Order: sequence, then structure tokens, then C-alpha cells
Amino acid sequence: METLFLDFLSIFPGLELFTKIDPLMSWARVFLIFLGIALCYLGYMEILEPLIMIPMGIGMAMVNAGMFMMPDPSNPAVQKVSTMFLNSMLTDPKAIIDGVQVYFLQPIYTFMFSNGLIACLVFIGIGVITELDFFIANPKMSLLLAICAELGTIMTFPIATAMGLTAKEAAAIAIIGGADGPMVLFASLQLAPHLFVPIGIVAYIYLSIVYAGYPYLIKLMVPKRLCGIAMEEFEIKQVSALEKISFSLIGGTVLCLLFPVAAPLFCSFFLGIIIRESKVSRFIQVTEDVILYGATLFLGFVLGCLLSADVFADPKMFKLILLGFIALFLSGAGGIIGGYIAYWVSRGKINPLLGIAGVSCVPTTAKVAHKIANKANPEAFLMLYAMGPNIAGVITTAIITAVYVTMIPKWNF
Amino acid sequence: MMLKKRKIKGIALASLGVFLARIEVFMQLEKTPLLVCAVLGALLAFAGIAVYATGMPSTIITFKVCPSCFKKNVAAATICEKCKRGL
Repeated sequence: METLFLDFLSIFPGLELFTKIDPLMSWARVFLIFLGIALCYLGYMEILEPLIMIPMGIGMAMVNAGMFMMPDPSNPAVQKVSTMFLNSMLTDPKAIIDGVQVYFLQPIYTFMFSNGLIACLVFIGIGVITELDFFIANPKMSLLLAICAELGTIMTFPIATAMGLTAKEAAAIAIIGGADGPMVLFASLQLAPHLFVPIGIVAYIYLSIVYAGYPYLIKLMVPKRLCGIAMEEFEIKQVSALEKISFSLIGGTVLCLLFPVAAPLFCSFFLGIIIRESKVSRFIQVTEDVILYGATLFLGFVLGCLLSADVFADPKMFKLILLGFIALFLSGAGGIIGGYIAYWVSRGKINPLLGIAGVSCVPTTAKVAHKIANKANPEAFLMLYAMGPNIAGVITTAIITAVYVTMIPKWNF
Repeated sequence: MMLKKRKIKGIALASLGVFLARIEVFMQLEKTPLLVCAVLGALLAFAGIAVYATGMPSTIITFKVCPSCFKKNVAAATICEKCKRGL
């Protein structure tokens, strides 16, 4: 009977694999299949960010379902548990060329992920949707809130080193506190490429949970009467497009001179801003509709496909999950503390919820601040006030990433 | 004229900051003074960018925001330019 059952299973290699691998790995596989389906559903219901969660959930469920024993492309004599999706461990040029002919996502992974191109493409898109006016409207307040909201990015670094991670690994995971996906990918590729996959996955899952999780943090830290503070009618200082282009050129050049390692990211971001301000409608359309959303689709899908049971079972994964949570929690709390400072300084005119928008998850955290304020008081309309700290958050996170990426390898911390 | 001066000051400050931050290209220094120069230089450069930003000529405008799509519409608008819903 047992032989008959095993013969039956051998027809379906994906099921047969359950009998051949470690039971813990089998359970991890089943868990990840269900987690993938759950993420996809929560994305569809818009409880989590659908743009990332739907492709990531599909990738996660299918990659763990589609595992079987197959020859290793770098050594065909060896049979190992693998999938037809991609192999993130290929680094030798010959193995990559062989892998491209086997794994369907290998070209995207090798030519877009392992060199950081995907982060730069997303950054061009973020640049195109960034309106500098909101930042220029009140740069001091925006920067104050953004700096406070980097508490997690700064404090997670010593916490992670105390938990036994190396300085480079600690910096790579600390960047999650900035809540800026492309920045996390870029930092982990530069500082801890061996942890790129788990850090990228932890970051994007948390970033999607921000929309659902931060309202609880706000409930915990901000009383309802303060949530509903309606700010005055929105006035902004409008600067001409030429001025914004010259600001982007000067700001971008200075940042590239200071931190050449992060120059591709700065260049991409300011290129996006200049495309927007130069009003070349076809470039704007292609960067926003094709490059940004195309890159986001493959980002979610490839990250989901990278989360196979063996990555999940890595002992460092638990530490990364914990540290990612600490980083985002501290950044959110720091942002709200910054919001309170702005509230006191302005003698009650500024809604402290604006602080959470300093966490640079554009525009999710601004939406969270707006949604909660609007729920507490239908006349409170925070969205555009929140965009200033949100954009300042992108800039401060980019600077902290650049400082980590430049300083840590140089000073051998 | 005043604004132009601020812009020039901003660029000069940022250039000085970049020079300080990348001083290792020009001279050999011990690790600690080099770190101090790098941090100080970066801060000066950011201050320079901020000073430049304050020198940008601007006009103050008011506008209405669409509650559905968050599009910025002119203050006199009654429907949203993007999603065509009432403001």
C-alpha cells in the first residue's frame, strides 16, 4: 500500500519531494504556500499594498509548490532541490549563462536585481511622481519630521550589532527603518549581498504591512482629539520649473560628489524629478506607467519567487524579521515624537500625525496620516501637508543609506 | 538680487563641504581627523543645499485638493481636473 502511494506520488515530483526532504523544510514549504496565498488575498482586499503583495504572494506560493529534484546547472552530476524560477546563488559568468537557459526569471534577476538596476528604475519612477513644491513649502518642518522618523534607521544599527550581526549586515537591515524599498535593496546589495534575499523580502513584507500596522501605533501614541486637528487652508510656495531643475542638478551633483557609491540612486531620483519638471509628456508617461509599474511588478514577483523554504529556514531569518520590525517601529515612533515637537513648537497648529509621514514610504505613510486624521475629523485634510515630510523622508533615507554604504566599508566598523 | 546672493552662498558652502568631505583626495590625514572632516563636510554641503533652496524665487498659491485622487486643483475649480469628481 505504501509502495503504491509512493509510486502515485512519483507521478507528481512536487508532491514526491515532501517524502525526500527534511520534515521541517516540508512544513516551511507548506507554510510559505499558504502565506503566499494569504498575501495575495490581503493585497486583493487592499488590506496590504496590492502593487507589491499580489505579485509577491503569487511568486511565493508557486515557487514553493514548484520545487523538485533537478540537476544543478553549475554541476549537472549533482541533483538538488530546486525550481524552474531562478537561482540567486549563481555568480560565475559561465554558470549564469547556463542558468539563463534553465530558469525563466534568471535574466531579470541577474541583469536587474544583482546589480541594483531595479532599485534605480523604481527611483526614476519615484522621482517622476515627486512634487518638490510640497517639500519647498516648509522645508524646515519637513526635514525635522523626516530626521525624527529616521530613529529606527539609526538605532537599529547598534541593536543589530549587539545581536551578533556584522557592521555591514547591521547597516543593511537598519535601512528598513527608512521604509524605502529601493534603498533597502541597494544597501543590502552593497553591504551584505549574501543577505540580499532575506532582507529584501522582510523589508517588502513589512513595508506592505505599514499601511495596516501604523494606525495601531498611532492609536497607541496619539489621542483622538489631537488626531483630528484640522490645519489651515493649504498654501504653497510655487517655484518655477527651471528653478526646480537647477535645484535638482545642483543637489544631485553635490550628493554624488559626497557619496559616489550611491551616485546611481541619486542620479535616478533627480533624473525622475527633471523629467517631471521638463514636462516632456511622453517621457513622463513612459517612466510613470511603464518603468515604475513594470519595475514594481517584477520587484514583487521576483522577491516572492526568491522566498523558497530553504531561505526561510536560514537561522539568520528570525533575527532579520525581529530587527526589521524594530527598525520600522522605532522609525514610526520617532516620527510621531517629531510630530509632537512640531505640535508644541507651532502651539497646537500642526497635527502631530504629520510625523508618521516622515517615514519615507511614499505615499503610504502620508495616506495613513490623512486617513486617520480624516476619520477623527472629516474637516482635517492632511494629505498634502504630509507629502512634504514624506519627500523629505526619501531624501534623508537616501543620505543615511549613502553614509552607511560609504562609511562602513571605509572605516571598518 | 538678494535671492541670487543666497544661491551663490549656497553653492559656495556646498562646494566647501564637498572639498572637506573628500579631503583625503588632496592630503593624507589620520583616521579620526579624516572622519571629522567627512562628517563636517557632509553637514556643510547639506546646509549649502538648504541655503540654495531658500534663494529660489517663489510665489505663494492656494489650491483645492481632490478628496478622491489627491490631485492639486486651482482654488476656483469646482470639479477635479483628473478624476472629474466634485470638489
